[in-house]
Amino acid sequence: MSTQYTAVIWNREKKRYDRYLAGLIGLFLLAFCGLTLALQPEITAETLIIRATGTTALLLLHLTLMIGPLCRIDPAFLPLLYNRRHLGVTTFFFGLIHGVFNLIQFHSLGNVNPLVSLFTANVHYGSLSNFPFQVLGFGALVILFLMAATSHDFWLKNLGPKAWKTLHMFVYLAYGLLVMHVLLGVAQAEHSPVAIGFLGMGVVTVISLHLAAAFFGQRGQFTAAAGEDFVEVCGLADIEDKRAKVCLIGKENIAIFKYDGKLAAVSNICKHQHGPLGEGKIVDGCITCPWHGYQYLPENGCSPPPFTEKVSTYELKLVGDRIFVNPRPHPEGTRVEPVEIPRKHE
Amino acid sequence: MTPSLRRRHRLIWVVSAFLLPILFIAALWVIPEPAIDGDFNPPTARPYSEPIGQASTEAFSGVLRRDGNLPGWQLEVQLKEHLAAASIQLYLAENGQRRRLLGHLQAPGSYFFHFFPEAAPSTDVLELQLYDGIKRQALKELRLPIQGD
Amino acid sequence: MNRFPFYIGWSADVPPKALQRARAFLLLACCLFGVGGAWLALAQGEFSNAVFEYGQATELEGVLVTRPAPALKVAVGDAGSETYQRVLLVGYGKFGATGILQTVAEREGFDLDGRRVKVRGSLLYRDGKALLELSEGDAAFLEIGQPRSLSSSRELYGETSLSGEILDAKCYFGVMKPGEGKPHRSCAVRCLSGGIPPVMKARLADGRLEYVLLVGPNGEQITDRLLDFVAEPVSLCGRAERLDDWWVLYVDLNQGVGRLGLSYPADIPMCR
Repeated sequence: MSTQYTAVIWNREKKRYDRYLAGLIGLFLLAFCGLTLALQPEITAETLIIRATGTTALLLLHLTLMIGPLCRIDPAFLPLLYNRRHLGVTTFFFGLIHGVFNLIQFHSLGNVNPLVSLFTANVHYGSLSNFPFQVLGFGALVILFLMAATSHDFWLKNLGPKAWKTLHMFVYLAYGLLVMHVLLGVAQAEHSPVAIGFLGMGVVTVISLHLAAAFFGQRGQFTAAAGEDFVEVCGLADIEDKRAKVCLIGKENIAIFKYDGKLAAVSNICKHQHGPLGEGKIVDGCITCPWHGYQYLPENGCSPPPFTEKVSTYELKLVGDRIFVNPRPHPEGTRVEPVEIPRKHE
Repeated sequence: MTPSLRRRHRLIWVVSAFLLPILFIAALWVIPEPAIDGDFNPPTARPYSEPIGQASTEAFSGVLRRDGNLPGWQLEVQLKEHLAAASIQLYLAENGQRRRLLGHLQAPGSYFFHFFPEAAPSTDVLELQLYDGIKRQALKELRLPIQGD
Repeated sequence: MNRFPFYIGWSADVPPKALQRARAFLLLACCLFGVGGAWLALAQGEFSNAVFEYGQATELEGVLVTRPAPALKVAVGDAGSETYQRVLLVGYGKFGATGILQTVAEREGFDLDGRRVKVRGSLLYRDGKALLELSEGDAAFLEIGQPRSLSSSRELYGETSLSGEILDAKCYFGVMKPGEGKPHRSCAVRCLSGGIPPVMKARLADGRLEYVLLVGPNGEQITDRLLDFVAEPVSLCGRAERLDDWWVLYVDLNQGVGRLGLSYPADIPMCR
């Protein structure tokens, strides 16, 4: 969270994250390149670079894709999500090295422009076994490039979280393209089942985690149809102190927070990346988003100065120990007096 | 995550859960087998009947044979490994010096050469040398003892 | 109600449960990256010991022949028992030698075919087959002598069919590893389009490996007809003949190329 854009923001946690990431990549490259060079000194430098970078990129993409659903299944994994964009950008860079070396090795110094050759050297687009698999890798690289290029909050803000999220969901298409890139490419030449087995396990893991998150992920939200002025949502005891209850009433996604003997309701959708504010916590008097720590004051939905983000607020009422919310939103940043909880209920 | 984003994720992964495994298996299924069923089969010699000497190294082995009904000797050389050589010639040698060229070798496999005993520099041992005539360097050597009558 | 621990990236406090999860994930990732890296390295197929003497110049003398593929006939035996090996000539990058030969012929004002020449280039070799990359282009020709009649050792095999993979000689015999198979397909197409001679790597029924130069019925270049079929198992029909140390298949274009893999459902081997 910042008031101005910086090329790359590093804080203590991000630095730690990046150190672990660099360590992981170093470990892989050491194991893969070290053993290959020791056992097969006949390999050419180009082939080693192409194989090492391609495999690194694919492994990193698997990690990247596992983090999202893991966090939805168990929010204790959220530290992994905090700096996921550095993981994504690193994935792109390894893919880029792989792609550039392939383009140089297989398509340059010929009678056709290398980029033209990429699409026209093999034209069996109608065949599965002969399919020009390099084109699939190129497509995935373009998607990863667009994601890496727009990964900065500048783009998030200017494209809007909805368009940005849509663009970044193309990573799933990139993943499918890369799986086929491997299967229709190197898998036809390398006959060991190890690489295929690894890829198969990766595909099964990624699909399973996403399905598990989609069907069993944490929700626990109250859902009701729109129409009434005030809708009964839950009892006071259903909300933990400094936490929220999420309710979906019609199209309104609302988080009702309980803190300091008060109740306040704001939109459940963080302005940053549409993160679930209702899964956040009141920290230092502010609602704090679980994804990247963006903060809002519960009584008016405004980020504390000097920050300028604002979310909608909602009216609440307390009847006995039952909480009611009016699903008609106030304009973003409108102050709504929090409902005091009578002492007998505290 | 907004409900609509959650729905889109669910849709994408339900579709992927069907599509990706199908494509995965299909891609493995169409991996072509290497082809080996052509008619082309350049003749190799039929081995002579009576072995009169053999020797082997890691790189190549040799069997010297003769046949009562046929003149001369036949040498079968089996090249066991791919040699990083620009040219592979087989020579009869004497004390490391090449004496007589028997022929060319290429990829691993069996090669047959015919020669007359008079061509052998020694009657006890057949000294064989694989030589790269382009790089002008000896590649491998083998001493093959000849069993007397 | 036991809620999940709350983690804020910019704050210094990491809840113990979150730390535990992050550590577990990291440990798993370490195993995956370490063991996976080693296992994938071990599982790779063997790389050939082909050699490309990149940047290293070799001078060769011999008689230049342009058919079936540009080559230098080099005497490789010792004096008195010499025999000839055809060292295929190729250009720099993904080009054959034909363009260079034409440039030199135009400059000199005569055809180079059959002349004794001395050339300089980088050697590529594997399995006793050699190629010379004329890295310096037309400057690779150091000496051009008079035409010399030199007969070739020939062995006619006759009509046959051949199954295997069509590859470009330059990559397979030294430049790339692996210089064959699907990952190399586009590169082989590029190389063949540039005039590098097509070679079929045929595995014979008894397991032997043969390298066969592919040309048209009259020894002409037929690269354009082969481009769609490189780097996959195919069969070809034609007349085979051994010229010095190379087998040559004069491909019968009327019978086409038979695709042996499961490429298109409609594909059936046409070579009967």
